[in-house]
Amino acid sequence: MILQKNKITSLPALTGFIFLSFILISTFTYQLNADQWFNHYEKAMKAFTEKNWNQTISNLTEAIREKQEPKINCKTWGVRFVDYLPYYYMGTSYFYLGNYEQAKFYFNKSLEYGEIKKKENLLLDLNQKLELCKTKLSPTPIETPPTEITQPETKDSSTAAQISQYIAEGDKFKSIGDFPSARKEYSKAKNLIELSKEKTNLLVDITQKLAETSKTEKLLQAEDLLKQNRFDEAITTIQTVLKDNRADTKARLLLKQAQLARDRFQKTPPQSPSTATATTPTDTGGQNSINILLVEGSQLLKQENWETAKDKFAAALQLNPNLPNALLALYTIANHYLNSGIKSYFNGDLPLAEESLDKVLDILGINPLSSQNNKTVINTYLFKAVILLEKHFLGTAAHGNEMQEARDFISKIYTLDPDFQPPKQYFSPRISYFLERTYFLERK
Amino acid sequence: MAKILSGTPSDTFLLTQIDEEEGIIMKQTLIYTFPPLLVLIIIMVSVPVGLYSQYGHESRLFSPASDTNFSGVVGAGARAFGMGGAFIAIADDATAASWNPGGLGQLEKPEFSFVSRFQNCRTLQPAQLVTPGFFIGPKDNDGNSYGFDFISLTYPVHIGKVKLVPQISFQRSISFDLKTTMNDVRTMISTPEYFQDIYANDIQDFVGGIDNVSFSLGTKIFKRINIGFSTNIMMNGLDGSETSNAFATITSLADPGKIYTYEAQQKESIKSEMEGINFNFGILVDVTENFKIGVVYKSSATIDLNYDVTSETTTNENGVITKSSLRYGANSYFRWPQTIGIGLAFRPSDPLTISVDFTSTRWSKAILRNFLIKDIDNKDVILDVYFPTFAEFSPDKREKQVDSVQIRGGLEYIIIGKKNLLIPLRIGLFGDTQYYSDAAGNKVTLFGITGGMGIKKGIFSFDIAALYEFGNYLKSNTDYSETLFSDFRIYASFIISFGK
Repeated sequence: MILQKNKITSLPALTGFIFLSFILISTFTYQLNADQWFNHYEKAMKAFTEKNWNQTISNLTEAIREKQEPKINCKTWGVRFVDYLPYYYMGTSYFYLGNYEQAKFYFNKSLEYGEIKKKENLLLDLNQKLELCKTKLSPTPIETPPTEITQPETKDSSTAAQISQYIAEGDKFKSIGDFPSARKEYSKAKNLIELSKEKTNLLVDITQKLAETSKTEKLLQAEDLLKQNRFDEAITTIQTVLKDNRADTKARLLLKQAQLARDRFQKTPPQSPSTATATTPTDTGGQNSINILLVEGSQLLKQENWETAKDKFAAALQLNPNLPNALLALYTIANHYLNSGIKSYFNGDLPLAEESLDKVLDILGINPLSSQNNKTVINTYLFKAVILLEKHFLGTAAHGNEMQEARDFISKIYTLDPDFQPPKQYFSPRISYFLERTYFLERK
Repeated sequence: MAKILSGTPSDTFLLTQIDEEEGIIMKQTLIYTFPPLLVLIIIMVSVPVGLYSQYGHESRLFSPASDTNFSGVVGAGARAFGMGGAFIAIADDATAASWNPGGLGQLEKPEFSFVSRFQNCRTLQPAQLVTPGFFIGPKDNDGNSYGFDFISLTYPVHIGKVKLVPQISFQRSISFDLKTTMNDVRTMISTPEYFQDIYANDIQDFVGGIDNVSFSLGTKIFKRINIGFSTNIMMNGLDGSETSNAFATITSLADPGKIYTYEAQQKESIKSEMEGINFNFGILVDVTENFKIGVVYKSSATIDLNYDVTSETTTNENGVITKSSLRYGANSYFRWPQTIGIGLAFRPSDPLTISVDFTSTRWSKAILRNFLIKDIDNKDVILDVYFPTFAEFSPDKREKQVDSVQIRGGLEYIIIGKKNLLIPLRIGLFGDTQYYSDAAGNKVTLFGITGGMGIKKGIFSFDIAALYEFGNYLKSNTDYSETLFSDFRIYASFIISFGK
């Protein structure tokens, strides 16, 4: 050994000192060294396996506080991934505890996020349990708010500790979607902060939390009102949110949807009571199927799987024709096909163009938007007519009625928009002449 | 070499260069001079033939393979090297302590890791026509080694809410293992009086390295801050030999029937032991869920060096055999430089991680102290010298060492297969400036590309990484062409994570 003696003696002492320092630092900071979401989730899964439902709920609440969004194959640490589905397990735990109201709430929340749909066996289990929850809750059709978690009275004389506790409780209620209770806790915290006149930063934070909670609560209320076709009330509620923040994207989108739904509802003849009963959102079994169709349709739309997405939305509309989201989605799909049709026409691929436009016409057959004056409908009729004329002039017509069919489409355009002027400059002289002549005749 | 050819017959002198600012001897070279013809042979045999041969003897104490590792000392593990060695801000597996002990606090489960390595080093110098009558053939020096690189056991302990993550590891931080062979380098010198035809080759066979036994501890002090500390006991050394051979025939043009033959063999055995201690401190901060910053400090170390060199030379000049030997050794020490590194890791999506590291090592302060050699008269000469380089300098050309800088970057993408099978894919790049300039005075920078993949199923992970480092430099200021350097390494890691 060539190591010098002083090094040998100093090494254990120095190393020991540093190691001890680490242990002490870690000990003194452990309260700030809280577990991360995956630690809570792992503990919850262990408790779930042991059928310790209360412990599962407690750990999942902590996990959700850290990370709200469920995700399949969510990275934890190192090269490790986990299927993070806290709402499904929350719902299941409440289900086994017999708290069907909370179970239903979390199952619906899980469906809202959509990740559960990637796990077929869990989705099946969720749907079965959800149906059971609805059956159990059916004798009391009036929705009751989720059980309020009793707030423990703090005996801590310190105001700061009390404020922290109110905020923590508020966060807890917020994470489980109980906004009224959350707002109540935040308000208590705010009152205490204002009285203490010290924590100005905390006051800003709590004011923001209150505003956020209030906004989310109002938007949820508006969504509920929309489901009940109480459009004006929904619009007023959304407008109160926009009054505070005009740039709120979610509120603006919801307002547009509400306005569109109201317009459409006013134009559509009221349904017979029997039909309304069959499709009303209180028909929970049907509503569940609709939700699944809408979520699936949205995902297919994101994947640009237009045809299957169309089928999903069409199926949802068959169950309930008053679905603004489904109508908007169909409108998007129709526009996609229209654009494809126009592009194909100008590329000289008439069969492909016709196929695309037929798909638009198919969608317009489902969607009441077809009865309205809008560019999608008018352009579809126009290009359909133009293609029929091209076929007629090229001599590739199938049955010889193409000219008449073209005239019919043009007439439909003038029915929707009497001031329509055909864009002749884009077409061949023969087509332009036909359009001009039809225009002249219609005007006449 | 041209300079040495002009030496005076039967004379020996010591050429010394002193750095006045630092007050140390930068380079001291024994120059043996013989009749001109023999000088050439001796030089061809004993000086520039090794993969990293130097004018000074100090390089022999660290073995040929050491240069690439000196400034490239980073960490261990195929996962990290697959990402170009950009791991300071990641450090979340059983190799964490070697990159950033601050990363240990992230580990939740016990882990065992084992890493092995294969290395191929090659230098290639094209043929040179120094003058129309002076030709040196291509030099191709090729060496391989393989062996153990790293082993560790990490065991997180929870005491109440306090989490402590101790790790014990053994790492070959600098490998001296290398077995190299050089081709027969042909040198032809043609003058109006005679024609010389010389063949020379070289074989090196070394084992050992600088090994670290590390005791590390990591912990989480706040929710998003991890700190860690390592004590590294540096040990082991070098054991091996280098054998150089030369065979020359000289034909007199005045008397073509008279052929002069000369054979020489020099065998140098080297044994050294090294021991020292240094400390590493690291911190790793989760700035957000997807963005991390890591900082690591590796302290300098004084490493004791005990070495023993034996050199035996046998010559056969027209049937007259002569043997000579030289032995020297000393208890010296060297100052190992401190390093500071900073790393950033960004995760744009769950399966994708991008990381960048920046490391600087204070090579300007790294010095070999009390370095002792025996001169030709067997007298002790004690020197303070800079570290070896793989460029050969004339003593008057050696410049001061400078701090080296490394920039490394890489990414990892994890494909998630069925039944929780994970297949990570990795690529990386790095640039590594050296602490010296080449014989032309240009800064030497090596570049590297890396790639790797792994498979993780349940508690078992297997990773493999390939690293290719390359560069070029003018080895000697008498050279007409640059030497091309390449270092190819493969790392394989096996990790068991106890607990899913």
